[in-house]
Amino acid sequence: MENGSSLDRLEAKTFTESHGNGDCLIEDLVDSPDHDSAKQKSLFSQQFSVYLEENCSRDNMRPVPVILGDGQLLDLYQLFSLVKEKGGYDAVSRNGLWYSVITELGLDLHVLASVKLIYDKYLRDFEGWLSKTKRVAVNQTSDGSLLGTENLIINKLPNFHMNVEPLPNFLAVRKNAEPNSGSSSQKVTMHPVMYEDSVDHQGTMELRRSKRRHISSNCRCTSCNSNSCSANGNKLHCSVNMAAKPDATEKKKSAAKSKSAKKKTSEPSSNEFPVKHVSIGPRFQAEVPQWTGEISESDSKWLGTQVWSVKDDSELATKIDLVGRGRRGKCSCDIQGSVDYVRFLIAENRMKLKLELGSAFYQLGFDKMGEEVSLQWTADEEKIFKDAMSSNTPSQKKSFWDNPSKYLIEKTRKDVVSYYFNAYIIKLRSYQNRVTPENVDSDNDEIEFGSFGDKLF
Amino acid sequence: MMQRPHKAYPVELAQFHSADYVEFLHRITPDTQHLFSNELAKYNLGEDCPVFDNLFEFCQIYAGGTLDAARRLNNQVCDIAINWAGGLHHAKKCEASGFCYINDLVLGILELLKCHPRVLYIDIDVHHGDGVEEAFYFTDRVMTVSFHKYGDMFFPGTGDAKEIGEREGKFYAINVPLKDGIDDSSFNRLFKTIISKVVETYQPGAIVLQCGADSLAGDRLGCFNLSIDGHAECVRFVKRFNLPLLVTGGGGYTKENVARCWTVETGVLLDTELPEEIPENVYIKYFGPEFSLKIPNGHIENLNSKSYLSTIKMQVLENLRCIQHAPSVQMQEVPPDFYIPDFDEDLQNPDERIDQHTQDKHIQRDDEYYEGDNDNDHQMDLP
Repeated sequence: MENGSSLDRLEAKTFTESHGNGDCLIEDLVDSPDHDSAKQKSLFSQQFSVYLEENCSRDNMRPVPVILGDGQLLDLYQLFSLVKEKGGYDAVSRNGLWYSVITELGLDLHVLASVKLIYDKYLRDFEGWLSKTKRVAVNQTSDGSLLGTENLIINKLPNFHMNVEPLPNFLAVRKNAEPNSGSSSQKVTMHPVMYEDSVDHQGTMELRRSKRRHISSNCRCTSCNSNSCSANGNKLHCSVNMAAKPDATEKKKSAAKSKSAKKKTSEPSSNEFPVKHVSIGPRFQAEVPQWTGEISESDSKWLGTQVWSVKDDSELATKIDLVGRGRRGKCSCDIQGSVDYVRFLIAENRMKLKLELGSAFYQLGFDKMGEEVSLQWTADEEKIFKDAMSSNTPSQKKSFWDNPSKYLIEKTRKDVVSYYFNAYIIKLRSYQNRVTPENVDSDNDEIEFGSFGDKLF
Repeated sequence: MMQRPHKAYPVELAQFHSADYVEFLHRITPDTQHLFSNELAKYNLGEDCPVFDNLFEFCQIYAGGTLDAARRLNNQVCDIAINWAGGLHHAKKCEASGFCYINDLVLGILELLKCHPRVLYIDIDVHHGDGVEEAFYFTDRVMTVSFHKYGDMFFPGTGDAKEIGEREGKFYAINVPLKDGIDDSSFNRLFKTIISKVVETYQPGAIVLQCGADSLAGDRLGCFNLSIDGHAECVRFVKRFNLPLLVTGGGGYTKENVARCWTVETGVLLDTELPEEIPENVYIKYFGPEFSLKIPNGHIENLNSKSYLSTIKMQVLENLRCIQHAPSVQMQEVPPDFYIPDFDEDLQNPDERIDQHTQDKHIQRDDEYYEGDNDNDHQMDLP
């Protein structure tokens, strides 16, 4: 790979030249002295992210950073340089050098297969891309010679420079994102780019905000559905998203004005991103048989079991009755009185429903709905829960939801989630409805709220 | 009538999904997932599609719902079947996506295809119905029509108007890419024009309608400005075709609005209008302070200009014309006087709603909705 190393030398030189450090002759990406290894690593990061941008497609989207099965972080740059030193993927595989790669990375042997696979998926193609890009860059020199003077190359590589120059901002954005989200932003996931606002960097603040607005107001997290989030302890996603929420709501509200203005500026950046295409192949399409004109048997035994149906009464209940009247408890002259009245109406409607549904009432789970759920909780337990919710640190909250039974010994996760939706958020909404009616949100459980007297709501 | 569906068996899920994916979903748990990072990446689990307790059971239940719904339609037990828990349209054959693990819609459609030569899939979720489109990209037995936000890196990134299907499925995928802020009138007009033309041209035996509620105003992730009435108007419109109809839920991330929307739409499907005010119930607090089935307008700018919408519409109708002229695809089996039905008419219950073939014989088309100036058909050939 002689050409390769010369190219590296040139490229490294170009990089350092462009950063005003022309004295240092860099031999090779790998053999550089320590004080330049940071530069090499950042060069690698930049090139790799350009590569990801260019080659991003549905088929080869890979999350970065890479985490091994046992939870260790794998440094792609280290891996890449080690393998390169040993002659590239093919040479390493042929000569059985993976063992030494693993050892030099300081990893356990049992991850060897994973590491090899990761290299194959992430870096093998990158190797080829890198040499192709360099070839292209170098071809732009007037004489095509690999060993042209440094100045000549610098002057003749405007495109390559442009690839490199604007990257730091973009990279800074994703570097900030990485510790939290662990997914490449080109993956076009709905995963929120989870920024902890406290980890702001001055310089990138503007850009990041706009990217987040750009991304977050458009590609937000489907998994940030409160129900499922809580159910599986991913509350953190929601919480962090909620911390940003006041921002996001405002942004959404003013989105109209800013979006049309933003459209013009954001157009170029959206063009940078690759267009996704429908995937084609046996692992994508369904097998649809030809229509023969004969109806195949559609299993008639799996039609579901009946739970409830409208009674065919001879005295036909009017449609209004079946549907139910609208809300009746509008009187709010006396808060305590109206609170009681609403409670009464809820109970009355519930009784009606029970009568209508019969056993279906229990089958459909109605008996487990509502604030009665909290009757099964002691005051202490409710306090523990409330304290966990009011905790200021997202990590404390996350730790609570990861294993609520640790804090509430008698309660299963199911119990805790049920309490959350049936009692806790109900109280929250009660408060919001009365105190902040213009700003109601049952997905933001971070606000402090009081209650009226010692009643439930 | 309310039914409890059976839990779909793995083999039923594998009618579409790859066996290895189904098996992995079956076995993975939150406690063991750290041992399977390669597989998690392979099947796109762990980020947007987290692994949680009873994940597989969850999939079995919602997929079973759609499957049972399709079977009930096939066995003509009912005319409309609803599964609000279904509609997870992003799931792919071999991977999860966008919080969808198993694509119940594809499974339901495959089931309907046992009894109908052509099935129409309509998707009004704010996100592109990519999983369903991809599954049926090559076939003309399923036509997929999706109305969604497209552009600005909005998930999932597919759904350009240029995606029209391939091979035998060419022109059997329709995409209506929209911009932020579309309102009721623009959306409904576009929807009705396109869907009428589609049904008229394609003549499906059954329709599957995914009613994702994230196209409503005020959705956490969506960016449209539809009211509940606007959204429900689509359901009402599709119901009028009197074809076997499978309705599912889908996206929707402002949960109170989702509840409102699907409540109203259940009413629409049952021809019942509901009072605007929500009666007292254990969750009434979630619907304050108005406690109404109505949702406030989004007050966002509609970035879909008239000319843009007109261009999209023209493109779609243009593509539909290609189907009319395609000789290999038999839309009209035979001229009316000699027609041979593709099902045994003797088995048809004469008390059931009129089937499409008989409807065709009527002079006045039931689905002619536009009169006078609004009639778009006067320029085109009527079949």
